[in-house]
Amino acid sequence: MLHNQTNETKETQITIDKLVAETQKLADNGYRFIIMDVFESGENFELIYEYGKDYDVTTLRFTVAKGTEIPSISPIFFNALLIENENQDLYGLKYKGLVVDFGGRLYMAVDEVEAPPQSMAGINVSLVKKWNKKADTAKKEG
Amino acid sequence: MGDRRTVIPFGPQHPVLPEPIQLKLVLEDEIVVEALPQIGYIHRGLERLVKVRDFNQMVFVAERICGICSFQHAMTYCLGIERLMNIEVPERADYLRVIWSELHRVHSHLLWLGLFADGFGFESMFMETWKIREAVVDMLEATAGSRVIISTCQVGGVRRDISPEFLQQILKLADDTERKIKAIENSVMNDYTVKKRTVDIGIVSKEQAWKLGAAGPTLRGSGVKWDARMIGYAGYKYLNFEPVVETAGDCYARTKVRFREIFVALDLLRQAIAKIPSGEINVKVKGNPEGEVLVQVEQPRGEVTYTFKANGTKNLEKMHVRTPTFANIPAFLTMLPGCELADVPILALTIDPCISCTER
Repeated sequence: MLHNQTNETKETQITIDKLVAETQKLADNGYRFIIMDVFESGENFELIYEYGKDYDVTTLRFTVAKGTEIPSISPIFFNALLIENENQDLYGLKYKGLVVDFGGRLYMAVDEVEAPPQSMAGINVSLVKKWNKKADTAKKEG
Repeated sequence: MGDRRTVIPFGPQHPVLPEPIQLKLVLEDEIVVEALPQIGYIHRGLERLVKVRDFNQMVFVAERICGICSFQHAMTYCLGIERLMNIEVPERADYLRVIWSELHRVHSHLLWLGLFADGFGFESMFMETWKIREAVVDMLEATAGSRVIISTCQVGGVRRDISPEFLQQILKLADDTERKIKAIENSVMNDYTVKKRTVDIGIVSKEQAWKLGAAGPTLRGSGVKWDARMIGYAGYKYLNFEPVVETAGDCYARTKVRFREIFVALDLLRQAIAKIPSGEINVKVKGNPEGEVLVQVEQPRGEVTYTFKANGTKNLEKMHVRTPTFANIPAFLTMLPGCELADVPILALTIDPCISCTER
C-alpha cells in the first residue's frame, strides 16, 4: 500500500496464524497500531493491518475465508478494539480474544433494531441508485 | 461502601457533549474504576457512499464528515486520490491548502477553548474565545464563501484563489488573534480553578499515549513529538515549524498544547503568505484512480488516516477513515479509572471529542 509519508512501502504478506506473533514483534520494536482495512473478495476477506513508528508505516496483509475466526490484536494494542468491534458490526467478522467484545453491537444498543448498518447501507445504496435513475429519466424527458 | 459498585450512564445527552456518545462509568463511591463507551447514535455510513458517488463527488462527502475540520477532511481525501493518480498539484494550491487548514486549526482550537471554559463554568472566557473565533470564521467566509463547509479543495488543487488583498487581511487577522489570545492566555493558564481542575488529572504517560494510538494534542501533551504535518504534505514541506510538546500528560498539558498550537498555526499562516508563489491553482484531472493508498493529515484534534482502494473506475472500491477522536477514545478510557466522577466532563473535553467524525 502506498502512503503519503514516503515512496517506500514496507509490506509483509503473512498467514493468519502469524498475525499475533508479527504484531507482537512490531509492538516490541516500538510500532503502534494505526488502522485496519477489510476488503471483501468473493468468499474471502483480505485483511490489512497498518502500524506506524516515527513517520514510517509498515503493513501486514493476509487473506481468510469468510467465517474464519480471527485472532484479536487488542490484547497487544488496546486501540484495536474499536476497529475490530466495528468490523464485527460492518462485515460480520468474528474475533477471538477481543479485550472488550460488543458482540456485533458497537454501533447499536442492545434494545435497538436488529438490522446491522451494513444492510442499512445496502438499502440506501439501492435507493440512491433508484433516485439517480429517476433524475436521469426526468432530465432526458426535459 | 468500598465493595459496592454503581454504574452511571454519562451521556448520550450531557451538557459538555454537543453530540451524543455514552460512557458507562463504573464507580466505587465517587471514583471511576472502569468505563465502557457506547457509540453509534449518529453513525452515518458515509464511507459506503463511494459505491454510488464518483471520486470527484466524494470530496464533498469527505468534508461533511466533520464541520470543524471539514477542509482537512477534503484535503486528506484529495491527497489520497492525487497520490493514486500521480497528480502534481500546483505550488500555489499547496500553499492555499495550508492557509485554509491553519485557519481551521485556529478556529477549532478556539471553539474547543470556549467549550472547555464553559465546561467548568468559566462563562466569560467562553464568550471571549468564541468572539475571537468569529473573526476567523468570517475570514473563511470572505475567502471561500462559506463559514463551515468551505468546499475549496478539489482533486488536482483548489477551486478558489485568495486575492493579495485578502492575504493581507489574513495577516492582520493573525496579528489581532495573537494579541487577543495572549491577553487571555494568562487568565486561563494561571487561573486557580483551571489549575485545580486540570493539573495532575487524567494523566497518560508518553509510552501509554503512543501505544494506545492517541492523536494530536492528546499525544503531544504526553510528550510524544509526533505531528503529521512533519510528513510534509501540501505546503508544509516549504515551511518551518516544530511540533508543540508538553510532557506532563495531564489535562493541563493538553490545554497548554492547544494554546501554543494556536500561535504555531498563526506563524504558519504568516510564513505561507510570505512565501506563496503566483500561478495556477489546479490541474486538469484525467482518468480514474487505481491502487491502494494510506494518507495521514494533522487535523486540529490529531492525525486523521484515510485508506483507499481503487480499481480504475470512477467509483472507489473502498474508503476507510480513522478520525482523531476514534483514535483518542482508547486513551480516554485509560485516563478515566482513578478519577472522580466530577472530573469526567473535563477529561472528556480535554480530548476535544468530535462525535460526528467518529460516527462518519
